[in-house]
Amino acid sequence: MPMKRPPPAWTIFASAVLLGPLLGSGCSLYYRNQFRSERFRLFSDLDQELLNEVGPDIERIYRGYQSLLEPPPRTLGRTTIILEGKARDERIIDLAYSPSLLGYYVPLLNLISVDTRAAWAREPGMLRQILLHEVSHHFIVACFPSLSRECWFNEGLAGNLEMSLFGDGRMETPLLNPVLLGIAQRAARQGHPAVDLERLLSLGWREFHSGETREIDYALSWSIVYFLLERRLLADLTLRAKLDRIESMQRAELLQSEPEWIGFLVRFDLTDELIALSREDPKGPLGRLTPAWALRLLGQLRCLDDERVGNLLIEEMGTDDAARVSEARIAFLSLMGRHHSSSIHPHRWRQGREKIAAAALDASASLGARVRLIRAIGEVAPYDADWTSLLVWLLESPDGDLRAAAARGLGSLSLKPTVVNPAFWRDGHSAARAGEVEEWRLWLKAHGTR
Amino acid sequence: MKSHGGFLSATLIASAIGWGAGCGGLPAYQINISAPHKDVLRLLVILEDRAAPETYREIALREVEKARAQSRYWPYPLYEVSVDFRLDTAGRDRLAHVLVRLGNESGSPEGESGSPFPVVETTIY
Repeated sequence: MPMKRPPPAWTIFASAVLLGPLLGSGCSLYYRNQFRSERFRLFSDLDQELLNEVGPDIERIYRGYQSLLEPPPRTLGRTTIILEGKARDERIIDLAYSPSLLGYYVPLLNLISVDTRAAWAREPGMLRQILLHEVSHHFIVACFPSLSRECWFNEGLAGNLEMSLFGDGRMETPLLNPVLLGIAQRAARQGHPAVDLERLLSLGWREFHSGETREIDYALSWSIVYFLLERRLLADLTLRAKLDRIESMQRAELLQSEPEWIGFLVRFDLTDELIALSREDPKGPLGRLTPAWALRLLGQLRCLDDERVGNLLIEEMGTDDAARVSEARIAFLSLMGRHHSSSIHPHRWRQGREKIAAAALDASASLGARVRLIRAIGEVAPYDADWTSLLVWLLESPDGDLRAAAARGLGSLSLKPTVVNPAFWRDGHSAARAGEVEEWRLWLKAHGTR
Repeated sequence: MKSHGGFLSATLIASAIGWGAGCGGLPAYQINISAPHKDVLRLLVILEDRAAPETYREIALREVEKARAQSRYWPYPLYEVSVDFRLDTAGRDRLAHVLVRLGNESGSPEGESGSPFPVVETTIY
């Protein structure tokens, strides 16, 4: 489901009136905790510990957008960011609470508000995506003051930028938003009346954010901006240069793109796109974080061509990039979890399994990668006698973390009662552990497995 | 295919059906206990009405204390207790789930995530 962020005009006005006096130093009186940075002030009633984690993340978002969008000096000011919610919300996951508005940005007040009362909005990946979206609005307004008034551009570009990835001191912006793509593509394939570029380009804030087709309009806005950036404009331009080019386009020029845009949506092959992203040149701008992200999605998404995905993952498992190989193994396990009888050729299937089993047993591999893989075998892969034997074998590994991971995997399979406490498997008495392993051996024997 | 036979057959800590006394301001409830693993308990609590999140937590912690007292002589200290709350109707609608992760046997004061034990996670449906 797309995020429903910007509020209607009356909410903006009410916010200005009600929150105005609270901004700046006022917020510090109103909210229990805060995190201060040169570019923003973060206020919340959530625990300070959470703010101390989120604050540096927002700082990275600011730095990333600063170098990506190059806003004119001194146009950004200092943003006030409010994470709505209470410390109690962190201990109680209320799945019944689902707000219609996860966050919004009020340019007039340089204010971002994010509703973290929904349990899923506090999940770190989701919270980062919401913040990426809302902070991008601030940069879009600063960089393109005139075009930012167009909803399709403002929301569409934010839908692209919210997919940015951070890690290893860098930011990568793959722009591909599989959720919004799914909604836009379905609408285009069904010939939904909302798939009308003239209508989309003329939507005002009120119509956009409170109309019946709000969800589709978000998705279509993402898709037109993505189409222009990735298919229409020269690939060797920087993102900023492409956006400047869009800013200079006349409406008539944009409208001429409609048939091509709809065709692009109808024919878009997500499997192909993710495979291409997973093979990005490691030295290129999308070469470090994007391939791992694309591999994860190839394992998780259910709407892909699994035969092509399986073949790619087996190939990736044979490459020499440790991070990509590790992601490919986990993704292959996810694929196996989805398909008991796979569309993949049995020989290729076996090949993948053997590579994963060999990796789990490879004592020369990194401990972290092995632990992650062994956990995934129990949690993601379907029940299989060979996997069970492998996990039982690993219960006797010299490394406590591997034993604990194997026990967790066996616990997830729920084949028979066992001890799942990781501390038992890491540091428990060796005789007690040996007793448990012996029980498992007898179980395997009774079930015809060695 | 994953077998779930263990959930039903595990009687390491005897399965029980009883009535909570409703003391201390807590509502009356019916409880069913199973042990899917040697150090894991699964509790099903049937309530007559929806309750406040804190009530689910209190009931769960109360039952955890009882279970800990009863399993004193069991060789494997309780590691996790999962409590499912359902409404006493034909459909037995799911109300909440409380997961209590208890201290580990090495006596470490912190859980894997760095939170102090016991870690209590309440999910409301």
